[in-house]
Amino acid sequence: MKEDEFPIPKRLEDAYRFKPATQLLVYIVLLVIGALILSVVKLGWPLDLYIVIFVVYAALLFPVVIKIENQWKVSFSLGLYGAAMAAIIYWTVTLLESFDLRSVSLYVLFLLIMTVELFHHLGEDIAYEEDKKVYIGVAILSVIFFIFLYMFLSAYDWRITVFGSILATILFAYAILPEKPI
Amino acid sequence: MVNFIWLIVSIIVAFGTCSFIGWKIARRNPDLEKVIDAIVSHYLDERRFHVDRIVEITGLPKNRVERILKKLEARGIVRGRGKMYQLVDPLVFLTSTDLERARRITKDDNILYGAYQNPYLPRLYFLAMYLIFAADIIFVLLVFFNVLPSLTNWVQNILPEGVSINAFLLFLIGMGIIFVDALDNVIKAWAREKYSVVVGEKSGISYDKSLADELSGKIRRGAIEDVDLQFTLLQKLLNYFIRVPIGDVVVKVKGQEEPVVFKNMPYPRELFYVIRSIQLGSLGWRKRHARTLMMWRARAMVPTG
Repeated sequence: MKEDEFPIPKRLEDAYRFKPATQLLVYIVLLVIGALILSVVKLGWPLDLYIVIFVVYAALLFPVVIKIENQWKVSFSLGLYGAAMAAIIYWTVTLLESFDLRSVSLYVLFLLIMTVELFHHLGEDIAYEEDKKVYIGVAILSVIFFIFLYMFLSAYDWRITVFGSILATILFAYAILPEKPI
Repeated sequence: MVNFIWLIVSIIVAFGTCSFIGWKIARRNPDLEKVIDAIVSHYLDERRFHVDRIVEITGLPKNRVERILKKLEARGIVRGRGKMYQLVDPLVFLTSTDLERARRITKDDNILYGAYQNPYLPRLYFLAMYLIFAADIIFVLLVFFNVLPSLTNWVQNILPEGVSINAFLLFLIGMGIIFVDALDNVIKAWAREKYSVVVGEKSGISYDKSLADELSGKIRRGAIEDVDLQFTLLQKLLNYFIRVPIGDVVVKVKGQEEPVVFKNMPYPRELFYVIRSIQLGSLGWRKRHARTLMMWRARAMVPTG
């Protein structure tokens, strides 16, 4: 083969992926299987909890199966992010059984982590962008994380409070920093 | 019933709002395409150019061009120093530090491809870190469903008075996710130190052999006898789902019995083409597909046929 003949698709990944129609089919089949399992498993949970689980499952599955790169995909992906976050917030609020300040700080920490990590998963194209705004965002989120963790840990010995909050915040900041895809 | 309606309404509203935002973020950007065209048409040889020159070619306002160049820089497509910019090859996925190192070691060669081997596939035991998360989830479930009352009591006892056990379990799930994500970053950073492969126009293939290595592995372009592309069944299957496709590239070297195998390399077909190009001594392929490659890297919306 002459060097001139090497073909290249407009999106390099396309050569390695399923065709778009197949990707959609696989996604739908996996959604149906998920719904089927949820309908078979009888744990006595309320209907709204099943809906929350299904929405989060659909959101987690989407970027793993759908590799199409266009405006529709980005839009739908962020839509699923919003839907999953709404479901998670609803579920967390229904779990609220104590308005003790430390309990509330733990709920806030959970929601903060889910907000960032789910965005990492579903908004990967935006999350990977390394610019000043992203770093400022990481800094702000880390400060919020530190404050709420400090509030929870303040019930313990001061060493646990101070060092635990600092170490966990460093871990949090490192985890959410934009990372190179390769 | 009221709660149920609230849930459905909030899901629909959040979906609609975020979809709209996503649609706006991902819309086509003709100005970006103009700037890319200008760079590809005039500076494909990676010469430095001034912002004013792009303003002149595109006819766009200077501040708009500057913003677009900053965006391209954030995505690793150009490198900037003051008002001067330089095209980075779209198939170079190295960090800026590693790119500098590669340029230094290859004596400022035109780097056509640079990437790191996938760290997980040759060492599946790294995936054991997900067992930590699995253990975290099992612990949470055991306590939540009160499977072992003594365990639930212990958790209750270590919590400050008045703190909800459910809130603490949710926090544990969150911290499990954070821990695994941070560990994943550590493993990737380690892989960047150990497994980089760089292909230069004149220098040939340079690669790391160990953690403390400085691209001491070398295959001169004249020494390349043959190059082959291989995918295992696992790689083929994984490529449907993982973010960056991978495969093995086998390089036969003149005078050596054993070929050099670059395992689990990102975009292996493109690495194969690049190695073949330098072996043949012609970059026609690279030049012809420059715009496609650059637009792909910029993740701008290229109209699909």
